[in-house]
Amino acid sequence: MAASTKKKNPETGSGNNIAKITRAYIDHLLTKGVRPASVYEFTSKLKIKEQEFYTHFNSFEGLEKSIWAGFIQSTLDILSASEEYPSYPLKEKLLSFYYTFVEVLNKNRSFILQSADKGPEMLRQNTLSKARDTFKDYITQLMTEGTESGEIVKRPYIVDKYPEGLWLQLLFVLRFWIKDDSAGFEKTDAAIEKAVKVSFDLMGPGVVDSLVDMAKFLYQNK
Amino acid sequence: MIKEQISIPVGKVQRASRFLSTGVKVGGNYLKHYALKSINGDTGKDQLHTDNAHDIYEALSELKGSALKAAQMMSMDKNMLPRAYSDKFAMAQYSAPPLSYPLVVKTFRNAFGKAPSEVFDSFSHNAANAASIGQVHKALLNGKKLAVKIQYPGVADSVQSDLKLVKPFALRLMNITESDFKLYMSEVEERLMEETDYELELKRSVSISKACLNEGIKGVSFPVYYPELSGNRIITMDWIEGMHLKEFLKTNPAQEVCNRIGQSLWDFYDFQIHMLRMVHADPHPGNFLFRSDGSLGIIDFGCVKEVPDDFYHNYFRLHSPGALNNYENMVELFYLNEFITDSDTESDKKLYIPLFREIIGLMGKPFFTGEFDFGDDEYFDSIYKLSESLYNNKDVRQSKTARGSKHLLYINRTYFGLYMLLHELRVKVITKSRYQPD
Repeated sequence: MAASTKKKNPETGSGNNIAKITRAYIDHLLTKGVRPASVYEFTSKLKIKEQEFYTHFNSFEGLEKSIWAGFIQSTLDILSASEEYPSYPLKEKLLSFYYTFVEVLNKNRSFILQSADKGPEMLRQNTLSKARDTFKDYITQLMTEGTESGEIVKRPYIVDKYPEGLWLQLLFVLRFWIKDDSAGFEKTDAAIEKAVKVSFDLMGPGVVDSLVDMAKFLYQNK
Repeated sequence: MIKEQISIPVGKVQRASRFLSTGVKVGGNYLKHYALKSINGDTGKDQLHTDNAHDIYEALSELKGSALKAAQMMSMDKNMLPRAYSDKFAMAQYSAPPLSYPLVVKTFRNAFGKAPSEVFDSFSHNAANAASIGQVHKALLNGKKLAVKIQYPGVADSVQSDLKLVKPFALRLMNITESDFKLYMSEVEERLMEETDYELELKRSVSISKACLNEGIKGVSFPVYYPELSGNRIITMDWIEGMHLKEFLKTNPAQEVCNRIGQSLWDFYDFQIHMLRMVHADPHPGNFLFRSDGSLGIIDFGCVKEVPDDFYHNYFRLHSPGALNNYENMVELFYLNEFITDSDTESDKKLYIPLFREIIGLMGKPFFTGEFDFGDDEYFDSIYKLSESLYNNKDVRQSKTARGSKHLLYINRTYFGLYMLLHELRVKVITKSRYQPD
């Protein structure tokens, strides 16, 4: 994620500039407590051209959106670098995702608390829209994998709602973590365990499927 | 306290009976009462019990940690609980929903900066056993089989809140004053907090097992502990082979083998309490691994009761042969053990002195004779009958004073647990202490 790539030479390359802008923006937000007055003021302090900012972001909102998406993306990057991860069953993949995600969040806690401070709507669709897209892409991929392996039951209509449901779960974890005051955020760990267990109990084969199956059988053989 | 004086004799007998039953005064008793009330109350008891037991078990296993511990404490006391309860709780000793592997990995990363697969040559994906506040994985390092115990997240935090949760039930159902309750509760809380402290557990495990080995107690073995592979939520030790008591008994071991194990068990406790003055206070069957060659593996020093000097002296003066023969001497010892206090009225004393004499006389029996046959069903029946008659005593309802030093809680629990183990093994044991002068 951008904010964690510390102290590289602020030379050329758009990647470096994105990192530089993001870092400076977060720094400004956390030290001043407000957004910079304008992109012009922000970029001139940073000694880059205003235009450079606009090649990457359309506004400060846009910048914040990509910071949040960056949290998800860097989580996914860490996971894909792990050797063990691909061999996990689906449920453990999702658990790993959350634990890694929380690690990423921990590194950016001040920024997130600041964001959350502005009110709950901050943590809703707008700022997080890009993060949500990234997350849902990931989940859709997991779902395909899960329905193939049978870990997820393909229930007509409902199955399409799973990514949205899991996004709500991610928001739950995020809010829980924001309010968590336990040492090392242990309670968030426990919350993740429980939440993921519930979601997989719901998405996996269960009582309802057996009932439907039996009803179908009886109907066909009455 | 004055107010409580007015409402006397009744409930006190009950408390005494509790003291007799296990020493699991706190968490356990509300359940017993609950059970009892439903017996005395309406019909449909057995089903009610099963339902209750089920619900409570579900709730407790969700809470994990300290509440599960309470369930474990209760399940030891199976005579005192209706069958349905004790069967359900017996399950709690062996199973609790496991921690996910990714969380195990995370715990390792926090402790060592590495995944378990990088620390060990191999590491089991699934837990081999559930401990009450953690779970055990099997690992292999340099050809050695290891047991790696990992603590559930947030356990320490949840202990206090779990106890708070128990409090309203316990207060109402145990029917004792808040200050008495606090005294016992603080003792339980202290032990439970210690149990969540894996660094302390490691230290104690090493020192107690070393002391026992140096002493040369026959037939007991302990795992070697590995501090370099342990942390504040991880303990690594040798994997110990052996069967749980129930499995072991199913193999129909020879009486001679049982006798040897029984004696080792007694000697192990004898040494701890008299010499170390600290005791493995969690004698539930999961912590002992029985082997067909007559040896015994002992694990889990999470719950250790340190025995203060003055309590030790008072307790064992009371439990020495002949202690109950001289009336004045006995009454003095009852005072010292806080069974009766200066605030008791004459009629209190009239009620309690014979009562405690009976209880101590019965529970202390193994101490009063040099040798004791724990296979004696009659003995355990008479314990059961005594406690039953105390429960059913009609005068038993409203008193609010609890009796007995707070240290008794875990000491009784330990000894009662030990009695039950020895009873199941049906062994005759030399109970005369090797360390106590006559």
